[in-house]
Amino acid sequence: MASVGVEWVEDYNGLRGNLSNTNAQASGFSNTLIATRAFNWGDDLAWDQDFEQAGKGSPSSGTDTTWIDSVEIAFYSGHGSPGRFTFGVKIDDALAKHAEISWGEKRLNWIALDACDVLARDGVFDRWGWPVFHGLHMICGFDTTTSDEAHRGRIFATYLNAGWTVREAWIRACQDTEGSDTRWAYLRSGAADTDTFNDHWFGRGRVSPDPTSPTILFYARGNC
Amino acid sequence: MSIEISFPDLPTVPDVVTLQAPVFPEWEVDIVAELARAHEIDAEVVDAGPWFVARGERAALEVYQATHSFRFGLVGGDSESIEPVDVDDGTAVEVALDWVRRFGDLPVRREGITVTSEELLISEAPDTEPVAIVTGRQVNLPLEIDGLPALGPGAKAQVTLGAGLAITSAYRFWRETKTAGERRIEPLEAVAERFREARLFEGLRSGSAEVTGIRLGHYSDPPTEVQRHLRPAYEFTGVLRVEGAEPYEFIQYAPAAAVPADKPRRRLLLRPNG
Repeated sequence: MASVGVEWVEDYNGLRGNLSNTNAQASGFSNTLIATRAFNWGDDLAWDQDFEQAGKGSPSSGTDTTWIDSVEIAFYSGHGSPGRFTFGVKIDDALAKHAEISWGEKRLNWIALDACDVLARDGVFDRWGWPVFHGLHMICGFDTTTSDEAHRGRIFATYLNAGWTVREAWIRACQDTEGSDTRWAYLRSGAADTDTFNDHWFGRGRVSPDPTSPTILFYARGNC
Repeated sequence: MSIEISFPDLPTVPDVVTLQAPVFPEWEVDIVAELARAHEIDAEVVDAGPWFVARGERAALEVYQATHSFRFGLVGGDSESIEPVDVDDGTAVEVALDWVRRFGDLPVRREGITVTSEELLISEAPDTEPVAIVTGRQVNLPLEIDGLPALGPGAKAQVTLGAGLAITSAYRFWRETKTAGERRIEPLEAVAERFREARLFEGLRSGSAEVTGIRLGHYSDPPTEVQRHLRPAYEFTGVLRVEGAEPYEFIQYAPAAAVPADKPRRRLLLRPNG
C-alpha cells in the first residue's frame, strides 16, 4: 500500500506566531487517507532537514530520502512565504527553502504545502518548479495567505479516497475550508508519456509514471 | 506578552444577535437526481459518504449531505482549459446571480461581490517567460445572515464562467436556519483586550501586530460539517511582524456570544426519518 507522511508546526518557540490547528489539519490528512502511515512529526520533532536534499543549497544537510521522499504523498502545515516554509526548531536553520529542495527522485509523487504564499504566482517556476521537480508529480498549495483551520487535511484525504483526481481534490478541499479571498494553487509537471493532470490516489484511478525529467510545467490558481 | 498590538477604532456592534440553528437538510436520491437534471446531468446518483454525487460524461453535481450545499462542475473543465476567457465584470455578475436565483433565494451581500480570474501558466523551459491564460472568470458572492456578514467557509457562493459565458463550475454553500432565540453579545472592548493574549502572540519576544479590521458575523463551518448553531463571532484581520520572519497576515476568530456546544463530530452514516 502507498504511504503518507505528515509534518506540522504549532509551537514556533518565539521564532514566529504560534498556530492552533496545524496538528488537526495534518493529522486529519494522515488519519483519513487510505494509506500506510509512515510518519507524523510535529512541533519540535518537525525538522526542515526532512524536506531538504543532502548537499543542495545552504545549509547543505538534508535527509529527504529518509523522510519526505520515502513516501508517495506528504502534507506539511505551518507558516510559509514564497521562498520557504518554516519550523520551530533550528536543527538546520528552521527554514525549508526551495534552493535546498529536490523531490521525486525516490518515491514522492505529491505534496501539499498548507502554508501561506509558498506558491505565490510571480516567479513560481524558477522557485518551486524547474529546480524542485525531479520525478515529483504535483505540489498543492496557495497563491495567497491561508487561514489556520482544522478541517482541510481530513477533507482533502476524503476527496482523494472518493476517487477525485489529486488536483480536483485539492481545489475542492480549499473551496470547502477557505473564504473566497484566498487563492488555491498547484504546480504540476509533465513529460512524454506522462499524465499528471489525471493523477488519482493509489487504488482510486490512474497514476501517471513519474516525469523524471520534466519538459513542461503547469501552474494553476483560482479563488476558493 | 512582549509585542505591541494596535487596533483600529472599534466598530459599533449590536447588543444582541439572533442565534441561528441550521435545519437538517432532507436530501434524498430522487431530490438530488432532480437537481442533477436541472443542471442537464443524466447520471446515477451515488452515495459517496459526505456527498451524493451524480457524475455524467459532461458534468458532475456534488450535494453535501450535512448542509444545503452543492457544487456543479464540467468534467475536466476547470482550471486548465486553454481556451482564453474574456468576459466583462457586469455580465459575469448577472450570469452568476441568475444561476444562484435558479435554486432559491440566497442573501447575497452585493456590495462585497468580486470578480476574479482563474489562471493557467505554462512553462516549457527554465528562465523563460511562461504563457499565461485566463481560463475562467470567477464571480465570488459573499452572503449575509440576519443582517450580519456570513463568516467562515460554509456560507458563500461562486460561479466560474468560461468561454462563451458557459458556467464551467459553481458552488452554493449554505445552511437553512431557524432562529433559536437571542444571545447578548460580549462587548467588543473586552474581546479585543482578551485578543491581546491570543495563542498567536504567545512566546514572541519582539515584534508588533496591527489589527486592521474587525467584523461581527455568524460563522459557518465547512459545508461537510454538521453544525448545531452558527456561531456569533468577531473576525480580527491584521498583520503580525516578528523580527527575522516574514510578515504574517492573520484572520482570527473570537466567540462573540455563548452558544450550546456542538456535539462531537461523527460521520453521517444514517439518514434521519421524515
